[in-house]
Amino acid sequence: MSAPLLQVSGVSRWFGGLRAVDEVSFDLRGHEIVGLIGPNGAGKTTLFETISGFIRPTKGNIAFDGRDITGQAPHRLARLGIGRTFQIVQPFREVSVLENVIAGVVGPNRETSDPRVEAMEVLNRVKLDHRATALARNLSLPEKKRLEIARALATRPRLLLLDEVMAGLTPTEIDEIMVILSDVRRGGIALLIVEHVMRAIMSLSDRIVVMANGRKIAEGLPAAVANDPSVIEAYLGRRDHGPA
Amino acid sequence: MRPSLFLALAVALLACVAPLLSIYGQHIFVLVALYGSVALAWNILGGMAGQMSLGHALFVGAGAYISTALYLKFAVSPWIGLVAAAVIGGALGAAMGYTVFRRKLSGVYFALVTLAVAEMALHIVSNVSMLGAANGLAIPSKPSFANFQFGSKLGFCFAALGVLAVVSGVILAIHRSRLGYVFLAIRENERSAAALGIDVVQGKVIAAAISGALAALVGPVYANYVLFIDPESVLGVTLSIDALLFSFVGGLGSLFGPLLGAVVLVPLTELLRSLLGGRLAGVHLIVYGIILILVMGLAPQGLWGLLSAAVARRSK
Repeated sequence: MSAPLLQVSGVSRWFGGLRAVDEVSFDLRGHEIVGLIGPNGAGKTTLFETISGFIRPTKGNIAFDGRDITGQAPHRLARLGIGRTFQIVQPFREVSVLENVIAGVVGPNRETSDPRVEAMEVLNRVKLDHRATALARNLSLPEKKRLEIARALATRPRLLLLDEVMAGLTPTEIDEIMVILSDVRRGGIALLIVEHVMRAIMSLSDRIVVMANGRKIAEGLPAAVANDPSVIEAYLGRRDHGPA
Repeated sequence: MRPSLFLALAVALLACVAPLLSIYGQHIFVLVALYGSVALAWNILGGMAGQMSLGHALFVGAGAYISTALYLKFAVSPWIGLVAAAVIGGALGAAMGYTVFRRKLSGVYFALVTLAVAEMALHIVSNVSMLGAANGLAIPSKPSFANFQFGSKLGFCFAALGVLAVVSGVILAIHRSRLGYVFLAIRENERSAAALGIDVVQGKVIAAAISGALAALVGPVYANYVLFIDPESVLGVTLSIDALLFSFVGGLGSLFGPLLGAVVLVPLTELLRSLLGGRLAGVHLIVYGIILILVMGLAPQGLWGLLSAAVARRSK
């Protein structure tokens, strides 16, 4: 058994009296795809922000590859191998798609042979190479989502955090992203995915973690989680009519 | 290889043109090169890295006063003063940047801090008798190469061109290295930059240090050209605003747009001053303002943007 790549232990984040994330623990192994689901306001994005270093946890620990990374700055985590995308896409708008990805290649300050060539290879992987010279602000939403993935991939992460990269896309566009993500996993990158598109997350994920009101309420294989009464209740509400 | 070759050719060409100019033409040449250098240096921080400074006179003034004080009080050659100016300018830029950016303050806050620090420096220097206080410092005319006094305007054309070449060389080097992408990422989106492994605070501090060091290089050259400096001329807010305006008019964030801004606006200012200044004092500033509004209204990408769009259309 290999040690987990990511270890989240009792992580909490409070905003004043609001417990946005409350004592959440879970593990993620290398090469694994874990889906993080839950109703709106469950605390998924806040948990994401704490894992990627943008928000400090109020309590608890996060370990990556066996070392404690709690409270480390985002750029340090990116250099260690944690890549992320943003729910609201944040491209470098006024420069070309290629330059966006080159920034990802050179960002972590490691040895690179030719950043331009490396960036083109990444664009190839997300099928955006034909838009390399376009200004990022002129991309369509599905293209911007793929650029977001490309830029994170360019940092050569070992773990990629994806925050709703399928939101707002058509079924065909979602299928395209799913192909890209399966390909990414085959390349040996572990994925933690926050997503509302159930069809996609259920078929991609090896394991699912379910959150509601800041807490983890279930964890397990996709099929098991989908039939878990507490999960159904969290999404659909309690059935308090009917036979008692 | 090609951009640096292009730069070398351009510098060589300008060096050949300078001797052909009239005395007045050479005066304008020196002013354009010096103002252009300040604007280009400003643009590294304000345009490339996106952190607007309203106090770049601080660096020019620090450079001018360091080298002049060293020369007058300790007989240190202004050539060494030039190096000292760059070191002090870089240190000032780094210190100011670190103080502000470490606290996650950006944008307007940084602009106001730079404005305040430059104004403070102006008032401090105005009250220090060793630095000539408000009367300024006059450099006695003793033309010699070691004294950085060339005896002819042509010598100063070469000196100013040298500074311009150094500033341009540094800009090209930044543009082609990782640092260029660090600045670009910080300017465009700080959250994304951090997510890509870029240390945002460090990047901004480096930008401020380089920008300050290069702007400071202009001070000693200016001081020895005019042979007189006072707080208002080298530390005043007018100079800070000029650096910003040349960059805006020329093309904010474009590599060499700010130089283009200086090429157009410096002669224009001189022309307006000589045409109108005598009869209606201050009118040249109004005309100058109107031209600025027109340029910014008609070409928001600046003259550089206008030019590159025209070149793109021609090549199609």
